[in-house]
Amino acid sequence: MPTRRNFSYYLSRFSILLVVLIYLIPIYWIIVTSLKYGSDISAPFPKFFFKITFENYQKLFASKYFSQLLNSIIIGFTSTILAVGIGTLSAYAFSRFKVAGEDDLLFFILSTRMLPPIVVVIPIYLMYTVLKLRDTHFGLILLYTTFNLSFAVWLMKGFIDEIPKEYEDAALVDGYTRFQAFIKVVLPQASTGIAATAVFCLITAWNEFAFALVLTEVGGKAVTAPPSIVSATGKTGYDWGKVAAGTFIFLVPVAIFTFLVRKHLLRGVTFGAIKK
Amino acid sequence: MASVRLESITKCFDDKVALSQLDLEIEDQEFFVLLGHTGAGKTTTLRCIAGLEKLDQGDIYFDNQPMTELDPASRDVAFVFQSHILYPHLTAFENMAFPLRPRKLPEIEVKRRVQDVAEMLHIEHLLRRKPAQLSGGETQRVGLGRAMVRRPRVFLMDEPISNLDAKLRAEMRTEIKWRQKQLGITTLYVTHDQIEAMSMADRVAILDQGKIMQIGTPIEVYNQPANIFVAGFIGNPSMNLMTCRLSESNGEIYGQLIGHLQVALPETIARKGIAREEVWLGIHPENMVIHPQEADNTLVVEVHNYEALGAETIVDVNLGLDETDQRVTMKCRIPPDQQVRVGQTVWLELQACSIFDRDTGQAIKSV
Repeated sequence: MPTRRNFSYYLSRFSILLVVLIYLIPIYWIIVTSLKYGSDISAPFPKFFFKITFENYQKLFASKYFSQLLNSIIIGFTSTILAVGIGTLSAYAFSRFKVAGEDDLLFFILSTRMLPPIVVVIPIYLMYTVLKLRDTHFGLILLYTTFNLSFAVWLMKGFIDEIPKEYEDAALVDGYTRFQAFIKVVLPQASTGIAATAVFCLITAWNEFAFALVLTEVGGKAVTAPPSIVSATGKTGYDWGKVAAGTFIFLVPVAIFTFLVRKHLLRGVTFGAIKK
Repeated sequence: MASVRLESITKCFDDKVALSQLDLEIEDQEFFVLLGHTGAGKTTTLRCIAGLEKLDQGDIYFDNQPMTELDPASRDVAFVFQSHILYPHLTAFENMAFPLRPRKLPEIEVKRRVQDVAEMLHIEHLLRRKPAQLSGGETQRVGLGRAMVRRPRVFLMDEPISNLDAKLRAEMRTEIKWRQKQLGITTLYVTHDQIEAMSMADRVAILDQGKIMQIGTPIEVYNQPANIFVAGFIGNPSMNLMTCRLSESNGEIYGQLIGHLQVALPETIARKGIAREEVWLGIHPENMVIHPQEADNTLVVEVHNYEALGAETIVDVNLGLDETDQRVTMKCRIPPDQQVRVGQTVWLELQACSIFDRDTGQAIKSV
């Protein structure tokens, strides 16, 4: 290990620290706001020392927030699993088999992302009304899976293209079926890609606001956390303490998920193993 | 263990013909090498035998059992690939055990088999490592072990050692050949390296553009190349090839090389080609003798360059210019104690040669 530390070493460390600070300040602000009394929150000069209270969290417990957070978890994770699962399978098919009109199909899949989703909110609202999918878990899961699928297919195709075909050929010759080879050989090596895709899909579904607001009813059974937080108005305008507490709790599941898959995100499992 | 028979197999990729009407018979327990340049169809042949590619025409048999319609898993072959030999997410042990897993053997039997093969290849100490922690030679050994652990009917090896350095390659050549004889498993080995082919094969098939140029033992293809492609491919240095006009005078057959260079050729060989007038003349480098003084029936040439390799010396001699003003050279192999210098005029004696048809390039075997 080199022990000589020069100016550029300290400069790089300092830059990292600076970037981390910039990213963490909003989160710090959310946390401290959630622990303040209303008067401290609206103080003209921000208070750095204040009396801690859990009043905002108590208010949250009293409300329907946690059942709505549960909706977010169910809808977010289910749609992520579906999008990544279907996306990985179709990416594998595109990568390994001759698909008629492959390029056109891939372009078509990508083109679904070329339009701002909000443009189609009215037709989807009407369709969902007819199909009685409004304010249902299934309706939102279906919608978010569709949103994420095109991205999942493209991202996973990139990762699967990188996995040498010889690995599966070897498994096929060794007596495995193609599906077994897919499970035992392709999936473990695509784990980095799957983790990255899953994080992306989860964040998209988790943070989605516009459709969640339009396609659910206030106080309805499928309301997710983002529209719920916004609706946290008190008697005198926004109850910022409750908003901050809700936001903080809202951040936790995604943070835990990202933390759990960090190993796969960081470690390129196939690096160094293939000697060319 | 099985004999392998390919009956006029044809394989096309889109519009490109990779294999055309290929016939091949490999005997039980034979070490058979497919030799050819990149794109000659060697790997495609192996992949067809393994069932990884569907044939467009023809049939494949193991021991007279038709294999053409079977999927790869049912053919009981082991494939050693050139690269990407091991799964990076599994340890060496799990990599070697991988082909045994679909057979649902008891774990103790799997352990025993892997252990046996590991002992044989001296890799017991590596079993717990991941592929990233193995050197090139170790990776290749574990890859070989993975093929051996199952005792397949046929081994298919696709340039398994071409990624290694020269010294390790020589070591692995001996190792693979010895293991193959020990296990007695029919082996098809693909390479572009003629030294590998010559040193390992019981028989070798030379492929070019999806067609077989010649099949024979290494000595046969070296001494009696079927055509100028084989002649130019086999041997290091390979056979010297040049066009030659034949003429007869006083009962002797003369070959006129370039300009006025003319030499009497061994009659038994040259007689076959006399009717054709112009032929390809092929001479192995070791079938020439360099005389420092003028001698009977020799060509006067100039030493262009020489490589003293220790056990032998390779001399490039300059015959002069042909009709298109290209320099014509030949490579001769001489004993290491014979001294030559660049620019020296020497007299070249041809001791043996082969002749090939001027147009088709095929060896001329009879009158």
